[in-house]
Amino acid sequence: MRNTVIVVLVIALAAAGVWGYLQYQEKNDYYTFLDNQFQRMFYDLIGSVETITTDISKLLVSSQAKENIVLYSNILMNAYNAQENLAQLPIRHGDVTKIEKFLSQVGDYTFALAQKSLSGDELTEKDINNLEQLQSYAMELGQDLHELRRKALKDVVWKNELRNEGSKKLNREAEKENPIQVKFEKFAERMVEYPELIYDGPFSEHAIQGMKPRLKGEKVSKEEAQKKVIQFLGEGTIEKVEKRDDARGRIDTYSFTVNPKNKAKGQQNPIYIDISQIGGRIVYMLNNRKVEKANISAKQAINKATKFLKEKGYKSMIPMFSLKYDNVVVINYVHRQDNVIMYPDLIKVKIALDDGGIVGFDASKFLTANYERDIPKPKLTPEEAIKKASMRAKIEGKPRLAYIPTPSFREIYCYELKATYKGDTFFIYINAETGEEEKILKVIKGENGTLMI
Amino acid sequence: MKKITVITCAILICLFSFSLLAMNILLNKASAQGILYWGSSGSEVRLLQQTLKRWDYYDGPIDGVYGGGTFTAVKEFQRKNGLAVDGVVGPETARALGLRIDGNRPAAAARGYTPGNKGVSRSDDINLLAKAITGEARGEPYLGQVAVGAVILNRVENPSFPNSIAGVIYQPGAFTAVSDGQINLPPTESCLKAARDALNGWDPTYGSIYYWNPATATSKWIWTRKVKLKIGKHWFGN
Repeated sequence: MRNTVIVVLVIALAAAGVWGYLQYQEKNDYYTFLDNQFQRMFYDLIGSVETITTDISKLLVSSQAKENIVLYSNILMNAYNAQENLAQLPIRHGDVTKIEKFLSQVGDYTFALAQKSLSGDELTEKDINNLEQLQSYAMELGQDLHELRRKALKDVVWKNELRNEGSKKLNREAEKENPIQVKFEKFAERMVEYPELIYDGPFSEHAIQGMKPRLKGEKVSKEEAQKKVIQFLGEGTIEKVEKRDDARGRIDTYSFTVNPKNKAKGQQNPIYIDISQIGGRIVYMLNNRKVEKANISAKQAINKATKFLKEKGYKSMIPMFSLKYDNVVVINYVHRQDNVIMYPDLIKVKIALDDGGIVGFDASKFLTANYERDIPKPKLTPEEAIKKASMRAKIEGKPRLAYIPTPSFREIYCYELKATYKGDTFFIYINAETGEEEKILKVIKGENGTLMI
Repeated sequence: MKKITVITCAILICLFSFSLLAMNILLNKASAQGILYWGSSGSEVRLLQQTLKRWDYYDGPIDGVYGGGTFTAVKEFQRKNGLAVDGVVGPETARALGLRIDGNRPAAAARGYTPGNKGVSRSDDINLLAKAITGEARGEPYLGQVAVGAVILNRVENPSFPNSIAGVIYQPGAFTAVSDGQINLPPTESCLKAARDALNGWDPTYGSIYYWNPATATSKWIWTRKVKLKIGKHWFGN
């Protein structure tokens, strides 16, 4: 009997041992696999940074526009790759955020220069200066990466980086000694004098800061704001208004949480609403109540939304496109001034299809971008604009005038042309002053509404 | 004596499995090249039998099995059409029969422009974003869930972060819910709605790219960020 127990225990122990060993092996396989991935990313990162360095130097000595375009696109591709690889390495974000921004801007800036080069403009003194600085930063980054690889990445190290993320407290001491973090931190410190690049691209310094709202007016008091909130939602529909912490963002706001009246138990969905401190305008409203079924059509909903906007003082808004899901419709409205469509001045209204109530409102874009524009007479006639558009696409209807936003908050005065190509619909934007093709949007029409990409 | 039996058995088993393997390879090769012969079976044989029957060479059952009847019929057909009489349907016999026996593959059609939007949809974005919100903020008020989604989208637009929703969400160490696998929980209904609202442009954070829970944040660095607003348990800023 005793012997049997011993035998069973020995077998169990052996089995556990084998199991443990297999687990250990499996774990090692995963580590190695991951480590290989990270090593590959790191090598690719070094390669891309090297290419950026040499290509910027080449750019500075090249005189041919054609060669420039090739170099620009090569730098753009390598900067993008380097940023991708760096972002997926297990390094603390705080240490590499400046380097990631540097890489993004190198790509974005060269893309802006490429566009400039396409329209025949030469590099300015400032561009050359910027490129020289970028090249020297890229070279330093390359050196640092090489050194890091030689010193620290000789064998499996990335797994430790991963673990550090999980148990920071235990490893805080060890982290201090960590060459990878230290090296990246040092480089980030040196980036302090990195130039602020201002150009026409989404990652330009002024675009990252965000646009300063054009919203003007007197500062309203908290009590006035609360009154306006109640007015906006409709008097008599509200049970309780609660104050949330105010937001100090691009638009400073008073923030409220409102409990609506007459709601079934368990359905007490609060309404969130923010109102600007300057001018007392509603910035956004969100009501997350359940909408069980659709009683009205999307078209009826659009009529309700249009009427609602008129009541709230937005008289010249026209619905552009809508999206239906979960028994609600989101309608995008844009401002129209003197028959010119102002795409930057966007307001979104969300309508519940059960009773046609407003369950969402967002005017943050409108409040930021809207102003009384001084609209010039277009240099091109509509006919000339059509001629400038693609010969393959078929133009439908009459072109209409519009202001479209660029990623860096400029506005372009354009003709909007509706075009079709083999059954697909597009909007083509032709600059009303220069006749250049500025943008093409493809219309994605689904059963639930229209999306533009 | 016993030993010899065992060895013989082993050798036989080996040979048998080997021949099975060889046959398999041969058969695969044959069908890949589109040859039909005694022993073949399948829809192609059925097609062959139908054709032969229509032309009165064959009067057996259309069973998709290349047996004696089919074999004789094919030989008959080959004799009458001046082909090599071997009872095997190779490329030439097949052509004479008007059959396509190389898997009945249609000829590669010329590719042209494909209109429509089948390959373009936001549903994957919505789903991934909803999963990230579920992992990070399922216990937060609805506005806090929209805010987390908005921060992820603001990061996509920011040069210090990856350039896609997936890139931002799966950035190592960026979100605890991704590191510990909570992102793989099924998204809640409220979080799906929040993801949609965020993608439709609602941004309660006014462009914030960071959020943290002051009660649990361990990174010293996060405290150097500028706080813009607070929703639920989270602070938002950049």
